[in-house]
Parts: sequence; C-alpha cells; structure tokens
Amino acid sequence: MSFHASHDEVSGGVTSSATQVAATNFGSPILKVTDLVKQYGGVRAVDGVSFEVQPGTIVGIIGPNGAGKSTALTMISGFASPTSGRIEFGGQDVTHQPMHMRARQGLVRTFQIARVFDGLTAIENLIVAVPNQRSLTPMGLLAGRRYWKQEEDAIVDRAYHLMETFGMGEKANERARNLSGGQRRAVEIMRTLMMRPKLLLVDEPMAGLNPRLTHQLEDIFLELRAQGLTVVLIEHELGTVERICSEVLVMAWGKIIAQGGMAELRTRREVQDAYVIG
Amino acid sequence: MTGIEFYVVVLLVYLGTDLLAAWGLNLEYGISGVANLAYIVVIAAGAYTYAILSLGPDSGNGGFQLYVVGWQLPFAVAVIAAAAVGALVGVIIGVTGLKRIRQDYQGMVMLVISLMAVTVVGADTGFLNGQAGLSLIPNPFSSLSPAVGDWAYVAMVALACVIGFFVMRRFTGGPMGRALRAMRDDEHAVAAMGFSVIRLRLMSQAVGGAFGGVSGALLAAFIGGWSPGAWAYVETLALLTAIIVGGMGNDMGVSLGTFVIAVLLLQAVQFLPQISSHTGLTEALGWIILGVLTITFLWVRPQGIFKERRPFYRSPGETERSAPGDSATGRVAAPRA
Repeated sequence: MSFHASHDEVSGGVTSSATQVAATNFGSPILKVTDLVKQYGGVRAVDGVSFEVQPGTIVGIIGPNGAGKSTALTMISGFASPTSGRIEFGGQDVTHQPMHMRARQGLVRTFQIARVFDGLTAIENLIVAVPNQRSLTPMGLLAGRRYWKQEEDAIVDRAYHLMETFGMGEKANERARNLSGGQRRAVEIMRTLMMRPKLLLVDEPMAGLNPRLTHQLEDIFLELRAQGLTVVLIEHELGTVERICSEVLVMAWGKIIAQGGMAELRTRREVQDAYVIG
Repeated sequence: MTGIEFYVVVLLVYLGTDLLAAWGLNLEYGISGVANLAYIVVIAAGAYTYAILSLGPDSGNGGFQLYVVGWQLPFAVAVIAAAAVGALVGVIIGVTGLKRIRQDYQGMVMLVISLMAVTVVGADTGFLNGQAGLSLIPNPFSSLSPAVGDWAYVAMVALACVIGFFVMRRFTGGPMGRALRAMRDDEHAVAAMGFSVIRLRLMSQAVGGAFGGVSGALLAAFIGGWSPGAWAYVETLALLTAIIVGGMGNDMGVSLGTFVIAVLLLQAVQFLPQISSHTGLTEALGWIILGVLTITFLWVRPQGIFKERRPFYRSPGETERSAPGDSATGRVAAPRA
C-alpha cells in the first residue's frame, strides 16, 4: 500500500477552498460546542462540555472509559439530542438539526463499531455515500441511466482510486459482510471521505487495526489535514493522538478536565489521576 | 370457453396480480427492510377504490349494497386512482413504523393495523358494505364475449406486469436500489451519510403501495367482488413466503417464488381429496405448507432460491480494456450471484 498518491486521491477531492479556509481562518471555529449536557436519569454522561475546533486541525478527545467522549460525539453528529447546550457548525446553530441534515452540510461521523452496509459490496458502500447524485432525483428515476451514467462512472472511478489508495482495490467487489474488521473500518472511513466532509468525527478509528494499518491511517489523516479537512478524533491509542493531533481534550466524569498538546498533558497530574481512578 | 381454458385464465390473472403485489412488497421488505405485515391493506384499498369509482351510485341494482362515493369513472382512471390511494394508504401505514422501533416490533405494529383495518371495514355497513362486501364490480371487457373478454383481460394484466416490472427496476436496481438496500442494512449509518430515512422509507412504501393498489384493482375488476374475507392478514404472509422462497431483493427470484407459491402450491392443495371428517383441512393445508416453507427457508437458505444480485464494477483500467457491449450498464458488468 502506498500513501504517496495525490491528496485528491486520498480525500476523494477535498476542495481547495477548504484548504484556504484552513490556512487563514483562525478565530472563526468550524465547530463550537457550548455547555453541552446529556443526562440519563440521575446520571450526567456529559456535564457542561464546551470547546472550539479550528478549521484544518485534528483535535483528539481522550479519556478513560465512561468519560462521556462518545456521548459528546454522538450529540455533535446529531445521532442523539443534548439535554441542554448549543452546537454550532460553520457558524450555524445545528443543535436541533437531525443527523442527516448535519451530514449534508459536511458534518460527518463514523461509529465506534464500524457500521458498513453488509449487503452491498465494498465499492457500493463508497458509491452510495456520494451526496446529491443525479440518479436519486425524480428526474434521474424518470429519465434512467442516460441521465446519470456519466456522473456514476466518475463516482466509480473516484471510489476505485480511494480503495486502491487504501490497498483494497482487489476487495472492491466483495460483499462488505465478508470483510475483516480492519477492512470494514477502512470502508467506513473511505465512505465518509466520498462525502467530501468539512468536519469528520471519528470514534476510535484505530480500534482493531494492526500497527501497520494504524500508521497508514495516521498518514491518511495527516494528508487530509494538509488539504484542509478538520477532524475530531476519539482515540485510546495515545501514541496515535500524539503523532497526529494538534490539540487534545481530556474528558473524565463527563467534563473536559484538561486540554493542550499531548506531550504536555502526559505530565499533568489530573490527567494521570483520571486514567488511574477514572 | 371450456372449463380448463377458464381455469388457465383465472390462474394467469392471479399470477399477474400476485406478481405486482409481490414486487411491491419486495420493494418495501426485501429492498428497504420495512416489515410491512399490513401490505394486504393497500391491495384492499386499491380494490375498494376501483369498486366505488366504477360501480356508480349505490342506489343502483335495487340498492342492495351500500358504499361511499359511487362514481362511474372509466376503467383506466379508476385504476390510476386505485394506485394513488394504495400509495397514500402505504404512506399512512408507513408513518406508524417511523418511530425508531426494531423491525420485529415494526412488523407487529403493522400486523395490528391489518387486523384493525379489516375489522373496521367489516363492521361498518354504510362505508363499504361491511362483511358482505361489494359485488357486481365492473369488468372493462364485459361487453365482449367471455372467450375474448377473458383473454383480453389476461393480456391487459400481462401488459400491466411488463410495465410494472420496468418501473420497479428503477427502484430495486441501480442507484436507488443501492440507497434503499443501504437503508435496509443500517438506517443510522445511512442517515449519517445525509439521507433522510423518513423520506426513503415513505417513498418505498408509496411505490410499494401503488403496486398493491393496482394489483387489488385488477383483481377486483376480474373477480367482480371484494369483501373483508378476501384480505385477511394471512394473504400478506403468502406474499412474504413467495419473497422469502424466491429470494429477497431479487426481482426474478420473487417472480419465481410468486409462481411457485401463489399459483402452483395454493392451487395444488385444492386438488387433494377432501377428508369428510375434517372439512376445511385441505384449505388449511396450503397455509400449513406455507408456514413450513417459510421457516425452512429462513433456517436453511435465508437468501432464498436466488440470492440478491451483486453488481460487479470494473476498475478504471479494466474499463479501457472492456468491449463496448460491456458498457450497457455503465461501469457495471454482469451481476454476480
């Protein structure tokens, strides 16, 4: 597998305008979370979390199990509603928007356990993710293949390039249910890239991957960042977080207890306590 | 027309109307993952719609049956209206399943709707003539001699099936089928990609409902009558068995399953000798066999006789090498099982 392909191949073509935003736009966050709370009965799984994410950065969220990391990500993506708090994406309040509306605006997530469409082939998993396809419009249904064939061919090309970049070209026509855990994870990530997201929320992407694949995925995230993609990443593998994240949030007991660079955080007493006690 | 010729005509009309219904249910269940156990309700909605839009006022024929509307529209208009009402009823049923409940609970909710609908229609005699149902529903070829009219009806049903098949392929094959199958496999993941699950589901149930509506209308016009006894919930299970046996999500498999179940099996049991001490056993045997077949296939071969087809996409390099004929389906070469 090689990751020396062009950036456009890796991302499926993240726009250059996104790169410009990344290079210049500090002070105008792509994601702003204010006082986010999620309460289940008497338990506050997320308890007043606030943070901002600048465009073109990779922000890591770490913390012990049960810290509220995945719950926070679930609310940001729209999969669950917050009990209170506010979520802004690209300057817009999206707190009460359903998940599919946020996804259409470029706020895209992966799941803690990779969720692929088992009945589709690997490449179909990628093709289906491309938004606003002509084939899915009423006109596309009426007019048939001639109306959307050219676009579909271009999407298939993009999907193949992406799969080859991930070293999975030979698996393109394999049913997703027959893929290994690592391959399923890769398909899920490629699927999100086909959507050309602005902000990618990834929940433990390295879980279940062997060290070689982990390093390859790290390289991919770094290349995507270079193109302007913003990533918020929950990860238990602290080495990965240190290598790719410019900013790290530490969560414990539903709150953000520290934030900064990974090297600095390793020395902080409250972070060490959270991992030992939490 | 001889007795056997009429029997063949009846079988062909049953096959055609069952095919339309099975394709509609396959779109909802096999492709979109909506366990619509109330599917027979949309068939009934189509049948009743056709009846009340073609019978004329209920004061006719001595006013022996009571029903609402009572118009006398041309056959084609009444059938299109039946499709529209089938789609509308499909959407209404679909709304009940929108709450994010598991598919098994969704099936249960829809089964209850099916039972409620048949009870309500049967109980109100002023609406659709209650348990007695509607009769003297006009056949568009009644002015022709029976020999010609019956075969003309078969031809018309066959034409409806051909058109229906090509329309259905727009939804089950190609990109729309891909999106619907993705929703079937994981509705949360498909929402995370920007698809509105509500829209996709309701669209699927509207199209499936329209197919059921046309099926009901064509059946009612041929039989000439329609009553609550014709649309018990088990009729949905018969279609479901056809889909499970033939191959969920595979149009050809569903067609084969419909032929085997709806025509061969359910007709074959009628030729079994009656047991005088157990009247009704022969008829019940058909349903028993259906149940056993469903369970057996779900255990032994859940994908059915024909598996869902897997499209094969050529890589960019392969496309350059492929023959022009291969591009008939864009970058998709022949499907593989």
